[in-house]
Amino acid sequence: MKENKLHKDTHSGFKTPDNYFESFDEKVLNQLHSDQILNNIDGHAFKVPDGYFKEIDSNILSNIKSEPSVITLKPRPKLYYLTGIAASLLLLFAIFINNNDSDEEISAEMVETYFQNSDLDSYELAQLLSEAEMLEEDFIITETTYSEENLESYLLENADLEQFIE
Amino acid sequence: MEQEQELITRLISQDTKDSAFRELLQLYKERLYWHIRHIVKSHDDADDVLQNTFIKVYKSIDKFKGDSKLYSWMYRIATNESITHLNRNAKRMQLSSEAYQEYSITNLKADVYFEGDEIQLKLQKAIATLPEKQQLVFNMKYFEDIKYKDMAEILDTSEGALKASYHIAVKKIEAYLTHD
Repeated sequence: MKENKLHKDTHSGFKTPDNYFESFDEKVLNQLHSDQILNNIDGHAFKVPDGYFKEIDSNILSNIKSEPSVITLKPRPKLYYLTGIAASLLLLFAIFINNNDSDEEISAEMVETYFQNSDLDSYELAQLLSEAEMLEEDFIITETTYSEENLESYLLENADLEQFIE
Repeated sequence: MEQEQELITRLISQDTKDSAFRELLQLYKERLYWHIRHIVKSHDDADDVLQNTFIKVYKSIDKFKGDSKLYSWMYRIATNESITHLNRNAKRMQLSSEAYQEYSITNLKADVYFEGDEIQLKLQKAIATLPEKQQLVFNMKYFEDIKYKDMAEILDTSEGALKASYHIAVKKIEAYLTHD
């Protein structure tokens, strides 16, 4: 009884699966059997045609002699490939943008309609023109001759006389 | 080593290149053939790869720096050529490399240059289930009996890692042969 207790303690709580020792012998024998299987296999069984190793020398030598000399092309640096890729992307991008533009070309009529519908006052319209576009030389100033009669009739038709009186 | 150095010198010199190359063929063609054959499986593919290997050796012997043995340098070329050949075949047939390996093993049954029995065919099937590096290590140790030291130089891997790889490969193959 004392021996049993001592025996159990030596395992420090470790246990084995059920029937481990009973099945152990068979497992070892199977293992030995499988080792023997590999040892008992007689070579690889690959064969070669008759006289193959006699003929191979002349085959290889004639191949070497008959091979045309190869001109080695200068390897292209990576930069070429990158430039090529960049150019292709740029081309695709340009085509894409042009396609979009051609779908709807802006005509003078469209601009006119836009201004009519957008209710812009003169100040806002002036804002649309940059200073560069407002150079004096761009305007053609024509000297007009007018007679006193014309001026009189213009003032009579258009001017608010009351403003001048005030 | 002196003999090897002398052979390399003659291979580099234009006057003696051809005769030295014939010697090289005599020395290594069979060993390299079997190394390639175990990777590509069919004789026709092995023949193509062996020729390409020697042509590459002939053309690039000037670039051989002597950091490793000539023997391991040639094995390295043969290994790379074999793997490239397999991948090219797989790509041409639009198969993954695993599926292509399965296909070449299935073809072994009809191959006139394979005279294996059922267990030898099963061994080839078991090898095909391994990852590429484990296949190489297993073939080089089991069939070709190459020393770990030489294998380490050919595959540019430590001897310890190769031993572990071989051990794992053997266990997997044994399990395949016993259970599948």
